[in-house]
Amino acid sequence: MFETGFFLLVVVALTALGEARLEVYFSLFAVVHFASSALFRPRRRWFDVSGVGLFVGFCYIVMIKVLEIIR
Amino acid sequence: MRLDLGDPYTGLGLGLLVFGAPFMLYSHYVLQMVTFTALGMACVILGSVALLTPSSPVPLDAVRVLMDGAYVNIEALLEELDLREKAVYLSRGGRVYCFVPNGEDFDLGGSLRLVQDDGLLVFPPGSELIGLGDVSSEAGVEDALTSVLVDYLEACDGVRAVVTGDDVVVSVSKPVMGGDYPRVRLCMGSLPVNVGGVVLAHMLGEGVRFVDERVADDGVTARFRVIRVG
Repeated sequence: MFETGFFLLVVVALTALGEARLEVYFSLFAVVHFASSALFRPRRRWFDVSGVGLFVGFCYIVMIKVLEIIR
Repeated sequence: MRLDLGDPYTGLGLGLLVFGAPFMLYSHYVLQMVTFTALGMACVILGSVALLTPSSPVPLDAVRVLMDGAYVNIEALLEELDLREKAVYLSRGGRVYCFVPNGEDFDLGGSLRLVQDDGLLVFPPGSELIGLGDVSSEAGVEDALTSVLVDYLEACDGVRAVVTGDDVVVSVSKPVMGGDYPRVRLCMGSLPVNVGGVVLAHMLGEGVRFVDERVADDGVTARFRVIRVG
C-alpha cells in the first residue's frame, strides 16, 4: 500500500513539475521500492526479483550519466 | 516458487503485470508520453512486488521454534518409554495422530488413549498445520505437501512425492532440520518428514507408517507405507 501510494505520488508530482525524463521516474521508483522494503521488510515467496531489476536499471542509468559527464 | 492463483495478491500482481507491460510499451513507442510510460512502469513493478508477496505473512522463525519445542516433549516421552519402532500416522476425525508401537504386533483400530498396551499415541507438532495450509482433499499428495512444507512452513525448498502401490517416497530438498532429537528422528522422522507424514495420512485418509529416511547433502528422502486401518 505504501509503495503503491508513493509510486502514484511520484508520477503525479513529477508530471506536475513537467519532468519529461523517464530515468528520473525510474530512479525515484527504485528509491521508493528500496525504502519501503527497508521500512516494512515484507516476507517474499522468492528473492526480490523486482528489486534486482530496479537496482540493475538504476546502475545502468547512473553509468550512462557518469559517462555523459566524463565526455 | 509456486504461484497460487487463489491468492488475492497473485491475482492482483498478474493483473498489474498484464495491464502494465503492454501499456508501458504502447505509451513509450506509440503515444510517446513519459507520464503514461511511467504509470505502466509503476504497474509492472507493483505487479511483480505483489506476485512475490504472500497474502498471509507468518513469523516463520517463531513457528519453527514452537514446533521445535514441541519435539522436546515427544523426545522425552519416547526415551522414557524406550520406544524404537517406526511410527504410524493415523487420520481420525480431521486430526492426525501418531502411534508409536512398542513392538511389531499392534492394533490400530483401538481407542485414542495416549498410553496403550502396545504403544504410545502422540500428537505430532505438524498435525495442526494441515488446518492452516491449503490441504484440500481434491489436491494431489505432492501439492498438499508443497503447500504445507514449502509455502506455509518454509521448511524446505521443494517436495516430490512418488506413490507406488502402498509405498510413498517423499523427497525433500534443502530442508530445515530443526533441533537434534534422535529418538523422534528414529521413530517419526525429522521435522519435514514428520510434517510430511501428517500430510500424507490426512490426504490418504489411512494409516501411514514411517519406514525410513535417508539424509543426503541437499535433501532428505523418506519412505512411508500405507496401512489399511480396519
